[in-house]
Amino acid sequence: MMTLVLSLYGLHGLAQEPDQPSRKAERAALRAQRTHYLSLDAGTTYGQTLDARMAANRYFGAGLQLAIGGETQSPRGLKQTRYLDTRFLVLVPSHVSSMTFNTFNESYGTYFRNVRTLGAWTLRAGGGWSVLANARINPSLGNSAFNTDAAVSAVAAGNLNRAVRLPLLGTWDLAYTLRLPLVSYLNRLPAYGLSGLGGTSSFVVPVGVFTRVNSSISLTRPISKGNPNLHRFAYAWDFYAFNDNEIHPLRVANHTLTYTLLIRTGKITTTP
Amino acid sequence: MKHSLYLSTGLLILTLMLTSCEALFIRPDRGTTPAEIFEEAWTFADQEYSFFGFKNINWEEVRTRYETRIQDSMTDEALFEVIADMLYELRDGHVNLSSDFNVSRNWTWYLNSPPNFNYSVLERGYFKQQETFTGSFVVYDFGDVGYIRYSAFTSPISEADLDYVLTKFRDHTGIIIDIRDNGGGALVNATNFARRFTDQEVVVGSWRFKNGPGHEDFTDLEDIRLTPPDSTGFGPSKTAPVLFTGKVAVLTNRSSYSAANFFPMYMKALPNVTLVGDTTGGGGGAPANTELANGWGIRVSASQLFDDAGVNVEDGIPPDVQVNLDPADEANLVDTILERALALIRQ
Repeated sequence: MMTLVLSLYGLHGLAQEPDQPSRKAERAALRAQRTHYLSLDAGTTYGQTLDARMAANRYFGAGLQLAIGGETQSPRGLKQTRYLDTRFLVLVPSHVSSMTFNTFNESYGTYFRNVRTLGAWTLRAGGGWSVLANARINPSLGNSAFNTDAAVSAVAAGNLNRAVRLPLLGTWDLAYTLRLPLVSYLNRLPAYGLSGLGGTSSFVVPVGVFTRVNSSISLTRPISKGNPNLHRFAYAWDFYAFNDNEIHPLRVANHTLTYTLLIRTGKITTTP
Repeated sequence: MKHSLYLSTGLLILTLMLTSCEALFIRPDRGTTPAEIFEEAWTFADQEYSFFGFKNINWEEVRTRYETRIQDSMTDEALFEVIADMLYELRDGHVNLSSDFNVSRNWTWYLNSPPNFNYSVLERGYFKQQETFTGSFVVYDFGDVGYIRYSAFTSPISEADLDYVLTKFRDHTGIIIDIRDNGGGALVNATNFARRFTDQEVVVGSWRFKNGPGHEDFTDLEDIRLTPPDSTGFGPSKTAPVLFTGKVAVLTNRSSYSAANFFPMYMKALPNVTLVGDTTGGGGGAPANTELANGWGIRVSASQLFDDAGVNVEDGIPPDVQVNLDPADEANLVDTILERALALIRQ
């Protein structure tokens, strides 16, 4: 009876004790189909920042991105991890009287599961985590020169991909990825007073108070025919807004063009 | 195939829409008309300045008085003058308006007092080219008393320099630290210097910070503790720090301001220290800065500092021994304040 109930609820692992060896074999087979990559990213980024806590103006500028992470592809889904994704921008306001340095350091992991197939498209949905530290530095502001935010977020994510054949460029994997933090634990410098003195504020906020949209379009393919390594060209738009009050809004937007080298790791089996 | 084309096009349009709509969420720069810049400067001071209550300033009344001088057609120089005059009412050396062409200030805290310092008297009457320059310090040895001049807390102090100077004066009767005409700088230098004159942790005062837009929105008072350093240097060169717990005289005048107001406040809480000279210039509020929409900088005090007896030291710290530089002494290349400090140590 118990077995029947568990089976009805889909808890096969608990219900089907006699089949353990076959499940093990199934798992091993699935594991064997996974492909692991080490990913190395390098990119250029353009962005704008409005941090009314520091200054009344929008700052515009450009910078570089470097990242290292991992990626696992399997018939069931996709796992993307970045151990460290760092961006550094130098920004100036329209009147060019001061300069702001903006650094983003992020670690994240996103897990996608195949949900359905729409013609040639595969839709994946999933979730993950993100740890982001953003520091904005304007040396001309003396005691107020530093402003930082740290956010640990639970993220919802989606991915849509298909193979496309481009004229002269061959076949590529085209993917759209969207990451959206739903709930975040934030640590910020106080909205008033002195940055670095007087402590920091920490709180849990839902999307709406801290809103971040990270979307990207990418094209991926093997580096050359028979080469197990991949390379990827991507455009990403990363926007976040923090509304603790309307006096000191924070808005950050970045557009990044990234080249990623995906180096195959683990056991590589060649097909005859 | 048709479906895929629609989907691709749809996603591309969606991405472009998302990207372009960031302009909707990021408001354009604030206005730069004279009235808007005036309002922005007034509001920043209103929300960040920490001494409205202590100085009994009616900031609303100040706005009413100055906004009548604002005109759409006024020049930048004229606008600067109006805002500078308004900020002058705060009577605070940490309040400034900065532009490419001028920096506003209120320096009455020292201009209305005797200077009480003349470096030329020291150089010609005492040092006579026998002084040494150790890092940011000018050092002179009276034989039984060591003299250390530190002219700006903006100049870095290294632990090695402190070890060197304090080792040199280790067996002396006392040390004179001269911070007259020191306009302040980094608080970390004040802390690193002062902690070499105590061998135990001492509560030297307390401070609190603005944490809201209201004039009395402050954090709770937080103790400031002076703790002797455990060690100096790194790795194999790590050594026990050199401390001096003998007699110390700190020379101050009205031009000892900001970090040079913190330092004597720290020092006077130590039992072996005497302040000699004139009341310090004050400047107990660490300044917060922002940039106005037209690119001008503005800063105002955003904290309050209290000594170990709970007294607000914004207006300065009175010396234990009040001495002014006597013009007759000065003419004879004698520093009255330094002489008094030497006598106190030699007593």
